Amino acid sequence: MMRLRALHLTDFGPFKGTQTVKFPPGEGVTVFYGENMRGKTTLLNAIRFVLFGSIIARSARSASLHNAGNWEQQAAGKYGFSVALDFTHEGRAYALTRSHRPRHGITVPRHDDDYLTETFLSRDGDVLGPQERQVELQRILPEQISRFFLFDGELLQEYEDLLSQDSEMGHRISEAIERILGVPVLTRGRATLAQAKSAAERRAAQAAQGDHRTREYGSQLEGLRQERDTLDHDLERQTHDLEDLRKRKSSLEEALKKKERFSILIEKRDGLNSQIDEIERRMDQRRDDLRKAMEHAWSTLLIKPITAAIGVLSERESALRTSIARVELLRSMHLKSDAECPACLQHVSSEAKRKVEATLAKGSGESLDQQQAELSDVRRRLEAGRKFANAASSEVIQMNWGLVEEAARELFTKRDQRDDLDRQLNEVNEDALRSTKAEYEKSILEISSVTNGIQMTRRKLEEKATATEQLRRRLDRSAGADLEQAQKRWKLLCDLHDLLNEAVGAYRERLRKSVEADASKHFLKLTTEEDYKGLSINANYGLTILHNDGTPIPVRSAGAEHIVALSLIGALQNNAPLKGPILIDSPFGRLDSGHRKNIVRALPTMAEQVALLVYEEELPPALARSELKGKLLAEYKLDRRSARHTELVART
Amino acid sequence: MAPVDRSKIDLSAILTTVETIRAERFSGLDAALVEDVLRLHADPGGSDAELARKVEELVEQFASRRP
Repeated sequence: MMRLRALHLTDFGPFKGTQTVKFPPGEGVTVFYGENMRGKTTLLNAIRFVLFGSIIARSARSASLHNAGNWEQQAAGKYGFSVALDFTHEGRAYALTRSHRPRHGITVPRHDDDYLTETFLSRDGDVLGPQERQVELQRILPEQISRFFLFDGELLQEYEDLLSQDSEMGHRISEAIERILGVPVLTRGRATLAQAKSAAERRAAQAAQGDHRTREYGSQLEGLRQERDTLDHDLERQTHDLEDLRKRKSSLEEALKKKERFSILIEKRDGLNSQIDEIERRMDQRRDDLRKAMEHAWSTLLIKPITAAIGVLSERESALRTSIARVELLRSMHLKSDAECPACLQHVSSEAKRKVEATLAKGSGESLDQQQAELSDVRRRLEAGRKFANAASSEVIQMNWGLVEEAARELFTKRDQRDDLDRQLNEVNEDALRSTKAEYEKSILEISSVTNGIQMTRRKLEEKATATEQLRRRLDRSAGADLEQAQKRWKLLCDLHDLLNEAVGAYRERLRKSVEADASKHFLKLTTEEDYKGLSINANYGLTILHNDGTPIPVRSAGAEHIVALSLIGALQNNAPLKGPILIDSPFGRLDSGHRKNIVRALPTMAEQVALLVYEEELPPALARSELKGKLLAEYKLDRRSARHTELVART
Repeated sequence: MAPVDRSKIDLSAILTTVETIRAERFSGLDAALVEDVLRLHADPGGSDAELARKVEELVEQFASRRP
């Protein structure tokens, strides 16, 4: 495995002049203490520069090398910088130097193109040529997996994307994980064998065509091979298209995620507009009701005499109803010869009958008719009076007035909220946002269509493979010696290909189990939560925290994400065929002191050589010493000399 | 043909996985040939065409050794 021995910086960032860091031999941790802006991230970038020739900004994007030199030296007219790294790998000593100097004839460089980067690598004292150097560096520490060796603790939340099947970042990290775990050894082997298999098949078909007994079969075989080749190319193109579409969908998703706040605001604003329309419609209705009530508002002045008149009319109506009922009763008794009293059901005597007749004679038939006519009149007048009294009610007016006012207040509030949202959305290009949404939805449909296409191509390939197999069996029966040899090699390559094809899936499965188990071990050492049982892994190597009762913890804090990411990195180091040192900038993120202590204790178990870049409040030196004990190999301080000059000072 | 360098990368986990499948399902395949093919691919140097050529050479060597 790779082990760092010494780093020499010349005019790189704030490190003015030539400064050297020595990494002591043995397993353990080297700590670099530096306050903000002293050059901790620059130190990590120096190692990245010497190994890969590039540096990255905090945003994880590539940064310009033109600005990477020492500013005080640049002010004095001295441009350029160099970094040298001494390391060992598999028992051999390497010295790697990369310098970035202005091109000949350029005294004041203005951009990256004005510089020339030169690299030298020696192995056991022998300088390697450019091609050998490149292969050797790629072999020792490929840049594609550098994220697991050189990393910024503050970017660890990227690993959260492994939990999402469609995330572009998740796919990138997942690929890097498979790379560090050695999966490409198998996938690349499988691809090479597929290529060799196809060539061997072509040769076998040619051999068959060369023999008159098998010529026809050979031609058919070659035809089928060509058709399969075309289908293979189609499948490759479709798979590529699918990958592109997934990337596109993922980037659109990310763009939408970034604008998610505005999407929510737009949705809220549109909702408010609908509510405003509804309130305005309701308010128009209330105003109409109020206007109608106001038409009779003058009548409220007459409400008292009308109420009194209603009282008189009600009494008269009651009296008339009683009188009419009485007359109708007497009449019914008079008309019956053997009348009974309807009240006591006794026979009405002749005497009583005469009295009834006398009473009826006093009030003529006309009188009953008059009473009934009067009753109708009284009832009509009562109804009109009551109607008038209702219409003239000030309560009705007040109620309608209140409803209109309430709607107006509601309208004002909603409009105010809507205007506030409009102000927030002022800078937002809503059309562009809508178009991104439409494109995102389109990409989902396209993915579905390409996926169907892939399934169809695979079906056709299977059909062709079956036909080829049948043809080959017929050919076997009448093959000559040349064809037999060609067939033998082809079959051998087929078996090798099939073996590696099966091994890819099996190895991935084995890795997932192993990474899950190791990440769980690291996690339980790092977490302070006793109720957690470990981690479970998904197909992308994304890890979910498991509670003691076996249920997954669906939502986790930034601190928990950090711990899970560190656990994964530790597990990858355990399982990777390729091992190396870990250099971490700001490893503690937003972690509390309990987690910090756990991380410090666990660091020596994550890799044989670890370098931490921290500020003292983040990891007090006393804590580092007490927790790491003999595993603390060296301490350096990034000492300020000026805003643009830092000295690396070894602490004893 | 250059000998396959067996010291470059720790392939034990990959080799164990592949050997298990070979022994169970592809016992007719030679274990040493499989290991050589894998070691060839553990080296990051070399183009795909070069790798394919080396694989064919390995297979040719193996096939010509056998009756």
